[in-house]
Amino acid sequence: MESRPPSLAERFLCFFLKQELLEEVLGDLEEDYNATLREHSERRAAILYWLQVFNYLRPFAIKNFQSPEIYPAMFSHNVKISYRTILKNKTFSLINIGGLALGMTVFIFIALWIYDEYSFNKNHEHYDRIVQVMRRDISPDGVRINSSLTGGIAVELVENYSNYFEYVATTFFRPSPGLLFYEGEHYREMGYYFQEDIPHILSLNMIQGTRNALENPSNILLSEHLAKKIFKEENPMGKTVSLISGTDLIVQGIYEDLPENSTFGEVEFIGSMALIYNENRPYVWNNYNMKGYAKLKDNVSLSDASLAIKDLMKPYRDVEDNPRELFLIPMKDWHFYATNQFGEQVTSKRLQFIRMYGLIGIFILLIACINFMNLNTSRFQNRGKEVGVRKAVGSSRPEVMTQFFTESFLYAFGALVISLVLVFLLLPTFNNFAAKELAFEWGNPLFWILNVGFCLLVALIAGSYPAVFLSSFKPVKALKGNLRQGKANKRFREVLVVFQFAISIILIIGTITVYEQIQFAKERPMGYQTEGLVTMTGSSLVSQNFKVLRSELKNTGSIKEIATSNYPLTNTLGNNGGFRLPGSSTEFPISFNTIYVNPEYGEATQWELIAGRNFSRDLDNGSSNIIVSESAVEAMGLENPVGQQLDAKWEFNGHSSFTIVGVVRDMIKGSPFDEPVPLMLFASERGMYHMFIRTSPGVPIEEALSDIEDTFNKVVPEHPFEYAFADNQYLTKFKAEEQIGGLATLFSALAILISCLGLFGLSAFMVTQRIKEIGIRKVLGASIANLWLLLSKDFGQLVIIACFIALPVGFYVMNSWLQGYVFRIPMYWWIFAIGAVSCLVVTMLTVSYHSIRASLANPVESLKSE
Amino acid sequence: MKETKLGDFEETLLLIVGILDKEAYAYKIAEEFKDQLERSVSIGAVHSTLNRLGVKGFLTSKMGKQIAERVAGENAFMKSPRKDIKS
Repeated sequence: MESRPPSLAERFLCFFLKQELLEEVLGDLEEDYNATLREHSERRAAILYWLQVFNYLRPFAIKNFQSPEIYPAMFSHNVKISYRTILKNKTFSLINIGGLALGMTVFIFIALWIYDEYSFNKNHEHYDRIVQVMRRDISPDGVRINSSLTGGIAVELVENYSNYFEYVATTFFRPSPGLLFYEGEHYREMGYYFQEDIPHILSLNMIQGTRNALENPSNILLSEHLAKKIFKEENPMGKTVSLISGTDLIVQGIYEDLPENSTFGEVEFIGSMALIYNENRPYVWNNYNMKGYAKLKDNVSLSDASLAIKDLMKPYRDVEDNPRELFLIPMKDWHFYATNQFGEQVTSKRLQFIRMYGLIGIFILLIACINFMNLNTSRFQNRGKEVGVRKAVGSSRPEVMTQFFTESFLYAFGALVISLVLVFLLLPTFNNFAAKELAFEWGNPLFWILNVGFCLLVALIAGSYPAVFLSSFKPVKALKGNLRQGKANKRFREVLVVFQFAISIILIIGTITVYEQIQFAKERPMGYQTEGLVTMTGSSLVSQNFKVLRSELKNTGSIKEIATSNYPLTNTLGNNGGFRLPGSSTEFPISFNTIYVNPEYGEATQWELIAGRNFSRDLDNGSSNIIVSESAVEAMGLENPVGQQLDAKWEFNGHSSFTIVGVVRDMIKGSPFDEPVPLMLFASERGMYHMFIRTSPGVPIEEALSDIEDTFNKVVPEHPFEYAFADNQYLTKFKAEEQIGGLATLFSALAILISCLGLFGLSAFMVTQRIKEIGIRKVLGASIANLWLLLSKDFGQLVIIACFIALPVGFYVMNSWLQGYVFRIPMYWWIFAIGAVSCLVVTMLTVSYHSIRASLANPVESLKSE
Repeated sequence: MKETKLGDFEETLLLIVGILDKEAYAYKIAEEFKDQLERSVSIGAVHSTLNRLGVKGFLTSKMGKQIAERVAGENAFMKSPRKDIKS
């Protein structure tokens, strides 16, 4: 069979080509097609045919082609008329511009936020070559991805993989703020102890000194910010600062501050790891206490390097099963890295938030645009005459449309100016709220181009429907004054209103659910008392004087007890597995939160003992007696926990077999939305750098604090008096959720406000249109209530339809959000009821303003004219 | 009247039209162009240039008779009134 040119292409050609050329061109192209077919495949001929067709998209060949004519006079005329229309009805214009401005403000904020998230870490010069070394633990239960490495890995990477990596540097897995002393002042700052090559990897911009300064372990690098803080005007180079341990470090470099939105943004000083370890690259294989970073060589691909180091750990592990593999993640993935239980990379929560907020931003902008459409098209009778006159004197439809687009552009431009001012004013508040350092890039031309583009886009979206609808009027009908909006147009507007309210209702439901969830978790019993508990960081100095300190504190009368521990109260650091029942060879498959506490820990935290006894100073200090939590008992499946013996693989507190002496209620130390972590506590008094001071009941906290300060100044004057309140620390656990809650509230309030603004305008026009009808009804005896119902019920119906759409969608979205929490509320029916009813009430209130005013008006006023 | 200008491509096409004489229609011209210059050109481009040359008065066109191997109807032949060619 003879092959034919693609019929779709032919149809397309027929669609746009001038009639008189059609036959000739079809013939030419087919000849070409057949010629190609003789030498090439059918596919190729078809593609070439398409190309030829597209090449006929030229002015001379296209049907009804009119070269765009630009009349500057028309343009200025359009602007002038639009300007007058805007001024003519001030309330209407204000509602229009205000709504758009609010929508745009929200959108700009969200855009700035997303931009900030995506530019994370981009400041580093070798952004595309910096990698983090990660570990993949494969076991029968699944795959766990971990970032902790052993020191030996770094040594291997440097020595045997130098053809892949230019620089390798590790730091401690858990950095904590360090204390720096200079001339009697102390500074608590975040500092990392790195191996010497880190300035090269991060491409630190050295203001003073060189990137090689860390080769000498007694050197220290300071951020510009910290250097200014410590040394003010002095030249910091060569000055000596000391650590709390008494070690003196020489400032040998000042680097430019890293921006807030980077992984190392919080780092204020960088010390040498050799200082802590006494050797630069410890060759250790059993302690996973480091994180590793590296810079790839220029000609090495990430996947090659990643594959090369995969089995690096194999020779250094005794057990053959449960392999541990290494791999690399590039810097661009650090911020959004998340994996599932199979070790596969998944969309992280953070990325989900970004998408969710992006979506909300777009929706709010859409709501604002819909407002604009509704308000403008509802005034069709006012604009009808204008369109009629324009068309009668010879305007074509595109010209009338240009007029309306000019108008919507003016509105959008006005709104943009207002929203930029708003963004400028609200930026500090927003930064505070979202814990960000967003900046407005006024000087960046790209910023302005984007803004103008954004403005045009909004004008185009918002102006499209009004322009199409209003320019479609037949001049004769329009001038006669009997314009009807078609059923389809009315329906379309109603769909838009339903859409607006559906989004508003979903946002309300979301807000309430988030708040309920936070409240629920806050009210969860935490297993200890944070109120009246002051926490402080200790030091070796404090440990040495602890006995004196304790008795002095208790002597003041305002302090009931003081306890110490090796980890803070409100986190779950220190996880260890390897416990088993004596005589059993199988270990419990879970890891416990193992912490060392002094014997008074229970007194100070006021935990709830449910079986056995508390630690006592005489019996338990340094002993093999342990206290476990309820969930630990459950996880081990013990019937009578008190007195139960346990064996461990490792040594804890100098023992490897233990006796449970007490069971406490679960303590919420980790996320309050998760299952409690099984606890295992050992009594000890060594190396405890966290203090918990319980104030006596009834003593005002200020009094207690001043007593503590006095005591500390008396006993350990060198120790800086810095404290925090345990209840505040506990509340920080809700930060992320409260941020979502806060933003959700803000967004739903704005969505409703914008929707109501639109409705307010719509109802005003509806009432003016029906003013005569209302007059007649009133004359014939309709009551105010009757009229109110008549005028409001249309809108009420729309909101009810919106509810039917919003409820299932809201249920689905919020349900999937809640699934992310172990400890969660059910989907309460009343949340949905509140969402729907509140939206209905707000709508009715908005609409009622006009309908009641119209119902109250004297019918004579509306009927006497004509 | 404004001076009429002739571009490179236009001139080449005009020459090809002269060579092809009665056979000069868009497809043939494009093919000839490719053969002579070893550069491919789309039929659309040729067509639009022929059109422009027509507007400038270098060419006139008329519909020729159906050629046997062509399935679609008639073809428009381009014919150059030689007197108009400026050198």
